[in-house]
Amino acid sequence: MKIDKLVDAIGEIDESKIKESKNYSPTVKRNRVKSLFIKAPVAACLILCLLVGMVAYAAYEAYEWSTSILFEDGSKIQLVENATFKKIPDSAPKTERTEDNIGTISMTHSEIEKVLGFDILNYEGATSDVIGYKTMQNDDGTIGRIDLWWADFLEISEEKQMTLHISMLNEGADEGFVLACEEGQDAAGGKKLENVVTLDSLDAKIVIYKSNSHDNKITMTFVYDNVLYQFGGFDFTESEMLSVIEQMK
Amino acid sequence: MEDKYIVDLYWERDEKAITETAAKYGRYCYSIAFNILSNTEDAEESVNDAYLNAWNSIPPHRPAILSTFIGKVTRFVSLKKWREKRTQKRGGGNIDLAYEELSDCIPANTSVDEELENQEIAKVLNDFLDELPEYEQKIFVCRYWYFDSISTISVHFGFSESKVKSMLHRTRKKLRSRLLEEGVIIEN
Repeated sequence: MKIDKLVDAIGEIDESKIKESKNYSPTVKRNRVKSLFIKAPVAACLILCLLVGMVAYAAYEAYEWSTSILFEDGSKIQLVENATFKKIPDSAPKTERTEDNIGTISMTHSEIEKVLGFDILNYEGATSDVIGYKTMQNDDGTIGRIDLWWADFLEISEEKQMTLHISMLNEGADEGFVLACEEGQDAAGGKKLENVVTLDSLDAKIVIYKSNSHDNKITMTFVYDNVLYQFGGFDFTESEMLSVIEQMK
Repeated sequence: MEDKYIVDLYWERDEKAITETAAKYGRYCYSIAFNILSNTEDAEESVNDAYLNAWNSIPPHRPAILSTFIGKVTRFVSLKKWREKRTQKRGGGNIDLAYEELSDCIPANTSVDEELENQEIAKVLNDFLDELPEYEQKIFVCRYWYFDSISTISVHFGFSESKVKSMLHRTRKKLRSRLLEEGVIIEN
């Protein structure tokens, strides 16, 4: 079939193009209209609408972001509607991903809190205190988003492990980071809702789901103090995971 | 675990290489396979086959970018599986639609020059993609390399679905001209 050959050739295009088009870093940007050629009255109305929109967007950008989880049956659960941005100090280190470097710095929990100037949930029973710290920069070079990857959060055995991914947006984060956060940290498809619980100790709504790719993995995600937390538990039960989260402070 | 250490595990013939690959890129590979096969079981099987292929080809191969390498293997294995089954099953999955769209690039009275190697055609495609605006290039790759749905692309890039469709349509039209110019497709 002649299309097969074209499809196979597309499979051989440069690896950099393949990688870039699916960059794991959420660099989603809204398209901007570059030029408009329209008559004066229509233009005036559009400018007025644009001004109103800009004011509304500026307010939205300055104060709030939201995030939700989309499931395979089309349903959606909002984790938070009006989270605010964190104030990340200008002195916080910036990381950059290159071909040879994944752009992550390893720090301890207390080092991270010192860098950020605010608290991040901690668990005394964690297996390791080494956390990956990664920043993504706005167009102007300031930090837009920070991700913390606690890979060895809890390791009971080779199979039974729990990981933690933490994300936060800085004041003035580019629109792309805000939009990417709307999808949560895990934008892959095939999610099945398991449960939604409210944890009194954290006063947080926890959305619990499984994905098609891992039968033995439970994901729990919630927003606490305007920071997005996502736990991945392999071979953990729901109650075991909740018990761990409940002890975090 | 960093990719270079995972690759080292393959070279050391340590089976942990596959576990680490699965932990880091399992979801990525599954999404590629599922886009092609539209079936959970087949997609999982393809991803496992891809790990086995990776195990058999590293060494001697040492991939520069592990994610793309394992992604390419998954795409190859999944396409093979889909081709074996397509005579029995044709549906409205992402890949069926993408194939239909790509047929725009090869009109009815033409065919692809069978003498050309895939790498030679890929070179023409690379040059063509390099000339496209950044978004058009990325959207093309998402649609025809990853076989992402229009709605997924629309959400990912922040464009409306109709905008994505029209961008892809324009790109395919330009690609058809380029393939004709370069002699990749020839009139029968």
